[in-house]
Amino acid sequence: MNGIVWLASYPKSGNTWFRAFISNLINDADEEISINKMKTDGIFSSRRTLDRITGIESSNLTADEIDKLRPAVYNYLAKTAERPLFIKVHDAYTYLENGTPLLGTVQAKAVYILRNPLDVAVSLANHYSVDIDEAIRIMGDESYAVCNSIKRLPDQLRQKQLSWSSHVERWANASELPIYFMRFEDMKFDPIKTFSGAIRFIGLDCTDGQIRQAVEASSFEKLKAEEEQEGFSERPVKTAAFFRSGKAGDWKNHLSDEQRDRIIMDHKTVMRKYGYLDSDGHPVY
Amino acid sequence: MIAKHKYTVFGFNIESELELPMLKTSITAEVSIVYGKVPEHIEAFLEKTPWFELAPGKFLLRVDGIAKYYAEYGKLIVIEPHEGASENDIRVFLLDKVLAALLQQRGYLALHASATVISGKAVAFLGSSPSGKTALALELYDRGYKLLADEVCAIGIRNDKAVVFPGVPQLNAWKDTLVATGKDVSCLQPVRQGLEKYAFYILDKYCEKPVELSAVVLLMGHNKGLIQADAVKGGKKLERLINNSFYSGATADKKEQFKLLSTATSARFMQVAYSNRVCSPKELAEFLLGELSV
Repeated sequence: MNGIVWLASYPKSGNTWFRAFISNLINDADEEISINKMKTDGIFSSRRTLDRITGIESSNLTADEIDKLRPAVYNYLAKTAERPLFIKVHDAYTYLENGTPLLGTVQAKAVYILRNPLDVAVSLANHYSVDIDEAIRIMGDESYAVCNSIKRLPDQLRQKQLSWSSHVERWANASELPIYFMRFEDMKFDPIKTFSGAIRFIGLDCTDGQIRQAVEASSFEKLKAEEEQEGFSERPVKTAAFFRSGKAGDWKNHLSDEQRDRIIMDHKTVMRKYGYLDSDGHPVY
Repeated sequence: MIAKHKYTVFGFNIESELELPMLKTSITAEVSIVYGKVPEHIEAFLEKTPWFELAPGKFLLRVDGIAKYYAEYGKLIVIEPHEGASENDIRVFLLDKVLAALLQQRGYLALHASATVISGKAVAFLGSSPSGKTALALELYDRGYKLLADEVCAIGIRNDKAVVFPGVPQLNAWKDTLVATGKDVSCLQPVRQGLEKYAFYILDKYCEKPVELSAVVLLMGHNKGLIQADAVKGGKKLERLINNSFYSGATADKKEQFKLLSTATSARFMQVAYSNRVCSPKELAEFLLGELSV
């Protein structure tokens, strides 16, 4: 099954945890994987990958010109891959003006991870070093994008994230490639069943024992301990820790009633659809 | 009849049908840049993607909406513009990877680097974008140091020593960088429409002669608050040069290329990791000048 397996999510939804799990699962050697040496294959918004494949200096291209190249670059990578490539993506699923998906969809499938937006808001505030109100605003912003400055060169290519709800819905409605939806909370509370489902979808030939071992090796506690010991290269410089709490429902310790209600007002349709609100509109987790 | 213009850069002279006003003029020419039809493909390629093809002595690049470029044996560049492409846009991509491929074909080591003269010798600052090479070069320029190159740095051998040849006398700097150094961007030409990246000419502090290479600094990003410098020794020097060079496969004479690479490794090498979120180009420059004992 060569090609690309997109590991997709809105930020702070469990993507790194799943990458750590995949890295442990596909690791040939006996030793465990380090968070700074994962076996997955970079991120869709990597400037370096685009520059390397096209031979063009992307710093001389506009974001729109770059977007026109991105699907073709990743379709090329998928067609020439000698093994499955596991590539992270935080972009919402969008389309170019000519109707082509921005994401490479040739020889590709995606695992989409979603997480309770009440918990995402707390984690996002920590990650972006903003207050929770700003994180809530970002999650509700339909035009939100990162790395989209034209006054300096961002480290990565522009990623249109849109609002949290739109991010989830756009991926849910993407018809050009097979997608497996997985909730962070199910990964937490029913890991073997949830991770096994993802692995069957991806098409990896693994035993229950291998999956169990990889789940244990990529537990949140282990990832957090590793970060404390050796640091984590993906932590933003102004953020104290990348692996903060890893709990489902931790929002109760951080959000005011007003903040909770604002998030629910912004995202209730999608929250209801994915089991984050009960029939009375109250948070499940 | 198309007018031809003569220029000098990287130690050789060019006759070009495309005006290159940022370059110094010349009388003679060893390299031609012409408009014409570019080959569809390169035979016996070493490396090929839908956007570029590379073989010893041959390089083909396709930039959608701008032009196709073909560089051959270090002597000829052919440009086939796309309809509606501006000369300015054609120039940008010509002076970047296409010129770099030509340099490799002519036997230079073409690095993705800026280079500045410090204490009479050349220091090359390597790193993939955005490692801060141009911001650092601008900071050093403002402190009075002469620039040799930005983005494409050409190294050759003179008198058995590795030297850096003077490149394009222009820094392509982003608005935030220029404003932070007190420059008025309203007086500057944007490199391309849609980008707040500006052409900053540095002819007043441009070094016109090749300068011996004394140090190579590899700039890298990290997420710590401090700047960390580590010496690079032995075989890792060669690895760093190769990883940061453009199109090493374009070189026809591998033996000469190896000799050049080996000669370049006699320079002092260091790896400098910093975060551009917390460390300004000014702080980085001060740190590096301290490390280089200036």
